[in-house]
Amino acid sequence: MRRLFLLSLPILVASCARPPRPAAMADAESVRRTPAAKNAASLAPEAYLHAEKLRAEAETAYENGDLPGAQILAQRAVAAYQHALVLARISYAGETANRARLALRIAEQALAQNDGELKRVSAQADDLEVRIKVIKDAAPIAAAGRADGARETARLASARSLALDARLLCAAARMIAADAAPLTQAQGLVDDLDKRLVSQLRPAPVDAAMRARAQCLGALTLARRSASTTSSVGKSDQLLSELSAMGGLSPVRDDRGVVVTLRNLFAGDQLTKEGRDRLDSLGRVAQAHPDFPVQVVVHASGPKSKLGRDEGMAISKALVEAGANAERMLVEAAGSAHPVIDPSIARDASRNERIEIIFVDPGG
Amino acid sequence: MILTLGAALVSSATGEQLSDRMIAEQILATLGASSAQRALAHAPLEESKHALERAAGARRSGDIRHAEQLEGLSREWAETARDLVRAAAAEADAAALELAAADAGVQAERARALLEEAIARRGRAEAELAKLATDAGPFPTLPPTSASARAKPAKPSNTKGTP
Repeated sequence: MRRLFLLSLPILVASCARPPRPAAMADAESVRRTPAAKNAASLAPEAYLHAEKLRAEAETAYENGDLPGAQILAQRAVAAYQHALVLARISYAGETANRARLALRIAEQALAQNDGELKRVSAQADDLEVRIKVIKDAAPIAAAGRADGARETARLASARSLALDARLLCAAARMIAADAAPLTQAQGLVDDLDKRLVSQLRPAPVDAAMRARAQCLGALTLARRSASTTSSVGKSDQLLSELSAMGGLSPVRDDRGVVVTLRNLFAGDQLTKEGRDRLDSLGRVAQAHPDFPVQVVVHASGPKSKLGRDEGMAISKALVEAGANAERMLVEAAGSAHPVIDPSIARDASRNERIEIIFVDPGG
Repeated sequence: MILTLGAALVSSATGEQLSDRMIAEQILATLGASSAQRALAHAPLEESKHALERAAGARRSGDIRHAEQLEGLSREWAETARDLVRAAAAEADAAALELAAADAGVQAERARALLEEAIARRGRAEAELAKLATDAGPFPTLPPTSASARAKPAKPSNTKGTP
């Protein structure tokens, strides 16, 4: 009897002991202890409390001996902790997005402010630099004394080139503001100079030519100021960009404005198809930028050159047909005063034959 | 999927509260329609489906209480899957915004540097102009107005040389 009792004792103890905890309850505990879960407690508190409640319900079910219920509730608690982690990610992403949005807005405001300020300061600097150039050009210079024949010839070529520059600058000024007093004075200098270049070749009037050029540049600068109250920096950049984007034109900027140089537009005395297409495009650009008067400058290679005023007029006509304003266009026959290649090199002399289309910067 | 969505619509139209099972099935149907979303939330979707199958088994055996608990588990995983997709989208948006903000910050810095350069350029020009104005008179310098003055070449003793 006693032996039977001793044998049945372990069985009785085993039957009274609590059943093992479901594995899911341990899983829920371990998920709960992770740093991410602690983070979720602050970023997604409601979801975290929901998971905590489910874990507590699982404990209760286990205490009540409902092992399957405890297992399911613990699994649900694990899912709820995972859900809280995901909601914490959304919350954190929202905070990050808000911070980034604020930083973006601040940066964009700073960019816009700096951009506007940059345009304003650059325009001021451009203006000051032009004034410096005008003053430097207009500064009295030591008169050039007599020189030997070769130097006089070089001075004469230089005087003709400067005289042409002066004429084109004064013409550009006239296209912007025709009635400015400084322009009248500068034009007087240019007219005197032209007379001297025809009648009195020795000594070459190089000093007068430099002065005339400086006065015409000064007149152009003043004409720009009086013509407009707003800066043209942006407009000129835009025009240059458009011309560059057209391809094959290689536009450049000089004192007059934006310059496009064209060659081989004519076959005989007629515009080629390619030449006409080019002029059509440029005419449309001129139409799109009515603030910019257009100068057509015809450069010849010498006295026998085929390019002259007639060709300039044909080009002007083609530009007008494409949309340019005829009243704001001027044709200048520049002759051979501005060669780009030494005219004595016969092989390359034809390179000097070219047409310049100048979109005169109206300034501001 | 159409039946699930239809049942959900009818329940919501009649004001009847949706059961955990119906909500889970609705989310599973919605997410299952997109392969990208399916791939993104693969694990919780599978957990949700598995829980629904277990719930169906419990119902078949008459264990309604545990069947309902399993349906709750399915819903929990389905909602986790749905919000996982939302989290991925929110994180992508935030990353794109951070990138845009960083780019704009760099551009703003560059613009600031350009502005400083322009200010320095203007300062140099102002200084040079002030010096020139002292030497050569105020802008614009115009030539002598009388014709005689223009006609006469300047005497070297009366002129200033330029460098």
